[in-house]
Amino acid sequence: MVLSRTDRLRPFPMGVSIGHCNITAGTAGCVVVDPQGNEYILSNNHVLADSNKGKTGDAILQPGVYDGGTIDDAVASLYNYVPIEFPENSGCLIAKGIVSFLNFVSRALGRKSRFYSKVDEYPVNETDCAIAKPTNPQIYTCEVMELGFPKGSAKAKDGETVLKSGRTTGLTEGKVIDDDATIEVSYEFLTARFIHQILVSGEGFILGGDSGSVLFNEDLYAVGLCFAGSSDGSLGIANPIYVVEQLLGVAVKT
Amino acid sequence: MVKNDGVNPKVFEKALKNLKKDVGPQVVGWSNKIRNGKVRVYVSEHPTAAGVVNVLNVAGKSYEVEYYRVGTIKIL
Repeated sequence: MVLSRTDRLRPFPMGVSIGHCNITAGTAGCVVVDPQGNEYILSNNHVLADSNKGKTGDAILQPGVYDGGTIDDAVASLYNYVPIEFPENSGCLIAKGIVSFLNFVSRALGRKSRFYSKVDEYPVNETDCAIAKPTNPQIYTCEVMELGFPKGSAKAKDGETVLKSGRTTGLTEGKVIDDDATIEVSYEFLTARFIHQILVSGEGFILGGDSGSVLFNEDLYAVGLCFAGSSDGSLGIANPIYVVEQLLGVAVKT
Repeated sequence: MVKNDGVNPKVFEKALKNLKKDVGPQVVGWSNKIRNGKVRVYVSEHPTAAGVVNVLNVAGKSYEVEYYRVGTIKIL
């Protein structure tokens, strides 16, 4: 029997549909472990934490809602994430104070004009990552579908061949064209800037729903966490996995 | 390939932010590595001839700007 990545799978491997109860669906990337030995499912903030809107304990479904997942398919709960900083979130306190005062005066004078502080500088991000705590250890496996078990983590290198196993496009291969890029990424109505990103080129490499898939080198060491790309699927963007590990205080489980 | 060619990363970044202001919103990013004397700039669409910047001057050095079309980048 062929397992579909969008089906309800028990135990579920990595590389299949998953998501916060308020989003469509993304991909379960890999299992990570903290220094106390606790295991978590790694994916993106926008997959497991609904782009900063999720709260610790929120239900994580497998498959994701878009693939028919319901609350009965909860397999984990949101545990931690690194917030994504958008320009709108980075207002200076002085600017906010001045704007509040000006708007107070404007209202007092019965004027309908309002003032806003405009941020001329993007805050920088390095990751779009989150982890979820499984409801029980029997509900998942550490195996990444069609790839096997990760051997650890490493840094991506320019020009190397990489692989990812994702919900939508399955197992695909690409080449690292940049291991240190600054790039702006659209989150529906907002744009966020990311630094030190990995760019991967490959025909049909990645599409919507593959977010959260882990990028591996040919020796099966995790090098990145995919989260964005071009609409034609030929370019993928991934966070360096070592930064993800540092910020979440976890390591890829081998 | 030389990472920043010895140029202070902050100076390099500032020069690229200024390039984005000059060229326009189609600039969606850049590489922080200099390859064969060229600076790679990622664009959603190739800039028009009127707005294009072909040489980036930074810290007394000049680099050819290589525009690399990536389309619109969005979360997947």
